[in-house]
Amino acid sequence: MAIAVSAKNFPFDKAQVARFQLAHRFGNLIANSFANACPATGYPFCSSGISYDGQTLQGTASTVVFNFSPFGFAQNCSTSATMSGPGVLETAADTAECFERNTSVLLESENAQPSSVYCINAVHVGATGGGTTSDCLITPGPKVLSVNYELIQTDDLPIDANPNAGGGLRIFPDKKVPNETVDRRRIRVKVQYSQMTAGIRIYFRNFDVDDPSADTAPIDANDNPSVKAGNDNRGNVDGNSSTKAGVLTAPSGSSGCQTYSSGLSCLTDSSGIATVDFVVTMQPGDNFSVVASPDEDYINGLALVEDGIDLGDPNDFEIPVTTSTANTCEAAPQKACRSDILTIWRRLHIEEDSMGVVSGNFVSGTIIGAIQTTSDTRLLSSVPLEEWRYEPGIIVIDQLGTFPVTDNTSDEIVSDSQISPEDALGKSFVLYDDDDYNRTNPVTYGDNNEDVDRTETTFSRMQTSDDPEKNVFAPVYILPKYDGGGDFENNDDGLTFVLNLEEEDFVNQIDLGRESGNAESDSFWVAYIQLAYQPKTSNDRDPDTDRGILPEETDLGVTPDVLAIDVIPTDCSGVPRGAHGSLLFLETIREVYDLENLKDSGLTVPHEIAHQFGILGDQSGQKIMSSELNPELTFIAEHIHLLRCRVNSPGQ
Amino acid sequence: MKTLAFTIAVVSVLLTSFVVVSGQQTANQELEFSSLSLSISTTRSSFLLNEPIPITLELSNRTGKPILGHGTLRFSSNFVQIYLRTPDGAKREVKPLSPNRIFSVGKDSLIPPGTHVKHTELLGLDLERHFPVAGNYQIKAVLKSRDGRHFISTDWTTLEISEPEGENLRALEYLKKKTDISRVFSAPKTHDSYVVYEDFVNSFPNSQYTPYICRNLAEYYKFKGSGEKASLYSSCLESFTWFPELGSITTINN
Repeated sequence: MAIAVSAKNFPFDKAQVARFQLAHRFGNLIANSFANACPATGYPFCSSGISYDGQTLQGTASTVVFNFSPFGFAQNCSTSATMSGPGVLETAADTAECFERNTSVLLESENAQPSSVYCINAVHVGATGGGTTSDCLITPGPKVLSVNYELIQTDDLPIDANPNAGGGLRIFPDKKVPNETVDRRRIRVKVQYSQMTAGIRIYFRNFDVDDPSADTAPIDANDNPSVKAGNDNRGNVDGNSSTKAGVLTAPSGSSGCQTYSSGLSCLTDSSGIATVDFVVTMQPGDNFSVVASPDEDYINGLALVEDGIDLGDPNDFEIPVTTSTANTCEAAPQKACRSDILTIWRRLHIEEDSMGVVSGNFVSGTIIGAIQTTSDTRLLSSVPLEEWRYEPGIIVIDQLGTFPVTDNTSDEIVSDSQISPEDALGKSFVLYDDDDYNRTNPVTYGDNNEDVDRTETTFSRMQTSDDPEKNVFAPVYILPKYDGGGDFENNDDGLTFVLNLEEEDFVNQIDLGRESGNAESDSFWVAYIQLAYQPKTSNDRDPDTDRGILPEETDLGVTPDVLAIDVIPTDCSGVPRGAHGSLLFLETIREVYDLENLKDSGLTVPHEIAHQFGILGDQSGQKIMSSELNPELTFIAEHIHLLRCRVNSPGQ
Repeated sequence: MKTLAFTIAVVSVLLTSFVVVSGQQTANQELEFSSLSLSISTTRSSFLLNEPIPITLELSNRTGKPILGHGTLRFSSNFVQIYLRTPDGAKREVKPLSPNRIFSVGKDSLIPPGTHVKHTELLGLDLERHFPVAGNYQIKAVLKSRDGRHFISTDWTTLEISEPEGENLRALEYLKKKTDISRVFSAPKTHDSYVVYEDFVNSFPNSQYTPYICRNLAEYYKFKGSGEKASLYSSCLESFTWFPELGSITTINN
């Protein structure tokens, strides 16, 4: 039924139109809604809208001119419109002289079908211009009420909120323990249909949605400033490059599931529930969504919109979403419902060893000569001394007491205390440097008899946390787990103490402690850290100040036998082996930060572990991977890409 | 006229003062990193295919003024770069130089005039990739300043790489077959590999590759506390009198 409404008092004022437009933007498509395609402001004011009350489909269109002065507008103004959709085709037009009245049409139909799209398209001619407007809606009908993920193996970390950019949900698809045979990549997608009827075919389709963490290469190379694209996952399922969006499969023991052009369809049970299995990829940061609909054609027509995450249909209706906190699918009339974004996270299992009790961090001998000056006392040692090492330090002289040491040569000890040469001569002594790796000793006896153990800052930037301040690997979707690399028994806190570790012994020292090698695999990543004490004497920052002709380099940590690189292609080819483990020199770390009056940044551990992941680093400006003491707490984009491309366990 | 003469005199005095003051400032200031000199040498001019090449770098301050910089010449730092010209004329960087990544910090200091720093280290990684065929290669080193903005470079020096023969050839074939030849001289790894190394030394006691394997074994057994075996392989190493002292840094000032 079509009616030309001829009234100077058009039934909708501008405020109403604005409300309707707002409602449209937020998807309230059952309500009246309008769009203004004529001048954005001013006249003619053009509008059209379509509504459905469950029985009658109603379309309206109008053209409002500036005024009705007979002197200004002698020509005709008009509104013509068509309302169409399955079973409906209504047209109408209204024409009048512009000075006489506004024009409008009303279109009605009771033939609307459920779950169908209807649109009104109007043409407006005003006194000072014109244009076209349109509006669409979907009539309610049976639909998918929700799409949710469920773990099949429920004895592990749950699917929970993804704390990183883009939100949504996260899953850890890797192994919980090294030798398990269950496949945690396989989860279940469960759909609730609006009718509790068995045998309704539900169509499932999976998408590789946009990486919301970046819009530029190398992290996300296929975005541009206005359009974010999906299909940017780094992983695939079982080496098949066409499976970057994951794989939908029929659940074990199910019947009635069939493949179709865009995915897999399965039948509802008597509760209106349809389920499929979904196998995800393993690369950290890969993300997915699954959409479901009872209409095969409709789901085939869906595509990612400009944000690369939401889905839209050919009429630009956005597909509602089931999230853990809200479900817009219940109220929306769209014939499809999509799941929340699901993002891959990986665990990094860490075996942590440490050297045992500090021993031999002193030198003992006899004072075989002594000279006292007005400012200091110089004592001649019976044993050779490491030049300058005891600047500063202390000397304990038998029966005389403890005195500060300000300097030493290869055979002479200098103290700014007044020590009687006569008393000192022939006395035995013990000489300690200033080592105090955990800052617990008011007087430093070289940490002797103290166990080497993690300090409060050692792992402060690599905690089991989603907070990037506490876990710098969180932005690359990696969560450290301190479980001995799969077995707490692997952790050994009593490795033989070595005061100064030579470069030639780095690999052997790691092999001495590392026991998690057999546990690691592509689906069980392991890193190894050994807490050592000091590197070779030339690089241990004893003495405190540079005394030689050249400044001393101080080594804080090392990752030996590493194959590493800084930049790999966007296709993730060429990820190097990395390394099996790293050594941390706790005492030199303490020494360097103290001398610079800085708080230990805690970044030595993540720096070294990133080497194990195959990052070369150690260049200026590379943030965490630079050799700066307090760099920015992030990896550079090239390193983020490399970390997220890794398939093998570090070192494999 | 008097005014003009007075003006010229004043300007001359000011200019002279400026030049003197500027000159004094220059004389008191240190020179920048690129004023240092760097040279490269090897223990021999000819090596076998896949034989490690001991590289000696010498950093010198040949100016009369102190130079602000560093003297870190070890390959595990990121300051040293080695470049090659292959027999076909292609130029490439030898990278990585060291199997180790060391998180090292330091500061620049004034390097006094007359300072010479010498450091010898093995070029032993990925030799098959860098020196794939026999022929004449050229090699040069570049040392970067700590901030990476300044460079000093050596001249090109020529190396002859030749095909091994006799025992050397058999030794190389053994290493290629039973070890990771790309890293065997620089990054020995598992305990199992030392069994292979011992067999190698027994089978090829006189090859040019043998001292490098003896060195690996000596260090391994020293670390393990096996004094007798460490001594055995140290003796093996010492029997090759041409084998250079590695890793040492010699600093002299004259």
